[in-house]
Amino acid sequence: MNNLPRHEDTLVASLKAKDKTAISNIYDYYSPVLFGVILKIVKSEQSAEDVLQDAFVKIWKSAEMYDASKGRLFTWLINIARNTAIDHIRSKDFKKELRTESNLVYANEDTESFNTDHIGLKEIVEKLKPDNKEIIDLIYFQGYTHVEVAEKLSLPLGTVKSKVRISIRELREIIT
Amino acid sequence: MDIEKYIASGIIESYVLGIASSDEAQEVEALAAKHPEIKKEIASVRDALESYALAHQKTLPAHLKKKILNEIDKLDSGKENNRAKVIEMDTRREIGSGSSRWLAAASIALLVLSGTMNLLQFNKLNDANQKIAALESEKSVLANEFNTLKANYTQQENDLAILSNPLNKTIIMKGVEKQPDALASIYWNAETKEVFLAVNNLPKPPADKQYQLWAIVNGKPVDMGVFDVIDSLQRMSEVEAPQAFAVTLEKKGGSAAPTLEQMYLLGNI
Repeated sequence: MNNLPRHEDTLVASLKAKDKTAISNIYDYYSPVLFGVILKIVKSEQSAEDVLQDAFVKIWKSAEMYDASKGRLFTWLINIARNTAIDHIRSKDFKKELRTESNLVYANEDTESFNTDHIGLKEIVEKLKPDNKEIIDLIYFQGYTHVEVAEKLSLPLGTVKSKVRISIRELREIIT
Repeated sequence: MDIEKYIASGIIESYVLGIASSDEAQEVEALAAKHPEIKKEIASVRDALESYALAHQKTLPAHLKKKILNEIDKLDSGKENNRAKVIEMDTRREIGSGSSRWLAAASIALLVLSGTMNLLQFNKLNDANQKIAALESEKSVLANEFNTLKANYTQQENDLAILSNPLNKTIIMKGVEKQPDALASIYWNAETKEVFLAVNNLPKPPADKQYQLWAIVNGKPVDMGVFDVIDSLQRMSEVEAPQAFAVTLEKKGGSAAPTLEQMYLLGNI
C-alpha cells in the first residue's frame, strides 16, 4: 500500500470543503484500484471508464456523507466504486448473463489484470485457494449475498458463511 | 457475552463486506465501540479486503482524469454562475441614471430573486438526491433481510418435507442417567438409508467437545458423524439396518469409538 496517502484526514477535510484539488489527489492515489475493482465487475474497459466517472461524481456529491468514524476513506471509496459498478451491471440486466458465463473466462481475465509493479500483491491472488477465491469474488466483486452464493454453488447456507470466514482468514494469512 | 464466539460467527466478515443486515451492522458497531478485540478484528478483515482490491489495480487511460475532472467542474458551474451574476449586477448599479435607474433597480431585484430561487431549487434538488440515496440504501438493507428470511423459509420447508415423509421412521432418543431430560429425534429412511437428526433438548457442549451420533448395527457402534446443537434438522451419515441410535459427548471432531461413560441419549428401533 506504499502509494496510498498517509494523511487521509487532510484529504478528507479538503474533500468535504469541496476543494477540487482533493478530488484530483484522490484520483491520483486511488483511481488504479477503483478502476481495477470496477473492471473486475463490469468486464469491459469502456463501461469501466463510464462507471469510474459516475463513481467520482458520487464521491464528489456525497463527500459530506462520509463518516470517518465508520471506516477509512479507502474503504468508502472502494464501496462507492463497487456499488456503482454493481448497479451498472444490474440495471443493464448483465447480471444474468454473467452468472451463466463459465468461470474459466473469468479466471483467464484475472491473470491479465494484475499490475505487476506491486510485488507481493499478485501472489495474494495466486496463493488463495480457487474455492475461496471464488467465494470472495462473488461477494466482494459481484455483490452476491450469502444466500445467492449458496444457491449458485449448491452449498448449505451455513457452509457458505463459514467458507467466507475461512477465505478471508486465508487472505489475512497471506498478507501478513 | 462471549467475544471470541461472536467473532468466530463470521458476522464481522459480513459487516465489512456490506452484506450484514442493518440490525447486525448496528450491533457490530455498538460492540466495536466497547470491545477492542472486535475493533481489531474489523480492521484486520478490512485490511485483508483492501489488499485484495489493491491486488487487482489496473493502469487507466491517461485522458480519463481530465474527462472526469471536467465532468465534476460542470456539475459545480451551475452553482457558481448564480453567485457570479449577482456580483455582476452590483457593479452595474453605478452606470444608470433617471428612469433607467428604476429599470436597473427592478432588474437587480428580479435577478436577486431569480438567484435566490435558483439556490432554493438547487437545495431542493440536493435534498431530493440525498433522499434517493437514503432510500436506495434502505432498499438494499430490505433486500438483505428478505434473503435471510427466504433462506430460513427454504430451510424450514426442507425440514418439513423430511418430517412429513411417510417413509421416514421416527426414533426418539431419550436421555440416560447423565442427562435424564435430554431428547433428540432420528428420522431414518429405510429405502434411501438417509438419516436426519433433530436436537430437541441437549445442553450446549463445552467449546472443545462435540456430540457424536452412533448407530448400533449387529450389536456394534457405527460412527454416524458429529453434530452441533442447532434448531434445524441435520443430515447424518447413511446407515442400513440399525438396531438403535445413541449419542455420546466426544472431543471436537469426534472419536473412533464411543466413550460409553459420556453417553447422553439412547433410542431403540
